[in-house]
Amino acid sequence: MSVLLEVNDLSKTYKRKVLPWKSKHITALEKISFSLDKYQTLAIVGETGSGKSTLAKLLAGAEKPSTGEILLDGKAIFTTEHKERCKNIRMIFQDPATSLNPSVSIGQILEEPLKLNTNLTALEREDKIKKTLARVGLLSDYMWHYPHMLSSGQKQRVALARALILDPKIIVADKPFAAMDPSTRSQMVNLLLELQQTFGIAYIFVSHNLNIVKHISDQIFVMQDGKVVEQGKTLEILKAPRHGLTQKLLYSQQMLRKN
Amino acid sequence: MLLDVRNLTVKLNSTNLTINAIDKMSLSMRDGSIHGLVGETGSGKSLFAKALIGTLSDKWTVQADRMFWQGEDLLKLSTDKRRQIINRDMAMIFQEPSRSLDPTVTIGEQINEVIPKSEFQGSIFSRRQERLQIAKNLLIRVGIKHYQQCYDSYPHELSEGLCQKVMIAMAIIRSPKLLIADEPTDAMESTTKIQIMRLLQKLNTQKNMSVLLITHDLESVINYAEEMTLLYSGQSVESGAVKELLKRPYHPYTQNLFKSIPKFNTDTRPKSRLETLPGSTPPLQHLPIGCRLGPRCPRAQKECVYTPKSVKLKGHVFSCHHPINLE
Repeated sequence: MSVLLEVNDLSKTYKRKVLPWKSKHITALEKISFSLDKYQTLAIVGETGSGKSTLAKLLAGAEKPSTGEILLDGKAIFTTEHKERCKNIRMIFQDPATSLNPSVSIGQILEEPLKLNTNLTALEREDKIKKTLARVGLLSDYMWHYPHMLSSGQKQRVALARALILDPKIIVADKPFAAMDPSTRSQMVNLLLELQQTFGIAYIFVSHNLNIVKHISDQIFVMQDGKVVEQGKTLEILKAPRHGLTQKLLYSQQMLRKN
Repeated sequence: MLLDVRNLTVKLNSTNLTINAIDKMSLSMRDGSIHGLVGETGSGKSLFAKALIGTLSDKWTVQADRMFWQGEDLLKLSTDKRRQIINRDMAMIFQEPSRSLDPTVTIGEQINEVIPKSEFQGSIFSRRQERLQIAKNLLIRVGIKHYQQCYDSYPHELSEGLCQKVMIAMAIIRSPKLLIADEPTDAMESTTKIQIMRLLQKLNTQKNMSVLLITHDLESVINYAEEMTLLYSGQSVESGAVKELLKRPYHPYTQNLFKSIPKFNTDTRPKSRLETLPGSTPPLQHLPIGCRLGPRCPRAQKECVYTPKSVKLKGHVFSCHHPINLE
């Protein structure tokens, strides 16, 4: 059996023209390889500018990688159609308030990916939207609401519904809990874990809250300057961090006592 | 007692109805302490800060049994007198510092603008030199190493952490007795966050400056504050020393909030369900009567449609009809 997601030597460099004949290369992400299975969660932690968001963007297809390949179910993802990728890998963004279009109703927001990626009829689409809203714990009446009528927790649920609506296998989440209250955050964590257990979705989380990371993830990557400096099972790494950065991060969140 | 607010009610007057955005909230602060004010979004934390320093517009009415600042009732004073006291004794910093600084002016000029005239000692001709010296001392005091570079740069050239340090520098210029920090570390990196919190702690111990830390980040309150007050939808839930509250919360909401953080209950397995209350915080136009936690509370009973009175027990103040951990 092949694994769900396999990444080989993925990297990203940006080219910047300093002078017409001279250009400068900036490495945002150095070569990275890993694999992820169903029911698994990978967490990526690190400081600002360490390339964690770049990795998330590469996986979701928002950016083209410089080298390497991504295999989904054993098939290279760039040779398959773009639609296929959209269906299987979906992304949730940091701030739901700004990632939802304020001038469009929730129903239309959710309909958009269905229109673009599937051949469902209008009736089937509506049915699907209602089902997905129910899955994330919202009433189907919310179809007619606009984003400003919802609380921030509900908005994040809508963002999750937009990711779920195409029945993806992998969800990439870029700091989904950064601006959330503790109680809404726990509700969201519960919802995500429940969905993982029922549908076997794999998650890739970019986060800097190690408490939450410790709770939800199986594997962890610690990144610095585009390099993965420490990787492995979450519990083991958080118990005995080797790299200085991991220790610093843990210490800054009072999860490690300085001796 | 530095600050003693009893039964503060803030009303929003609109054309057809009035809403009690803050309903009979009490808070008292000791001299030289760090006091955490914790609540979810929309629970009226920032509103409290604004009511305290008197910057609410005339849409709002502020009533209180008393609002004592070092023995003087702020609400009974004239506007001018009140403004003088607030100007002398209180200062405030905000969340997202890079947005609250003026983007068109350098940091140095912005700091110069807030230096009060009373700080200068020399003649009018030496003002320029003095200004520069005061501004630099301030930047050093908040722990900015490259102060000259910071002095000459614009807000967008600095990181979020540095901007917050500049904000703190501008706030402590008159060495206020109370610094109100309104979500000072919201959406910051954990390493930057700890720097800011350490700085506030240092100012607290060295200058004996009290800090009112308004935040929804329970973890930082637990690590840095000595006392805390919990707020839910504008009603005060429980207040007391942080350690006591952690050990023995009396209000179901407090217990639930502590349980929602995986770190504090070490026995939770990874990927297990976290405990939460069902539902979400009610919007202002649909506030439930009585105890506002009522519809979400697991222990709610018939009496909960009446607003509970606050009870003082072993240094805690809580308002609940059916408290837990009392047996």
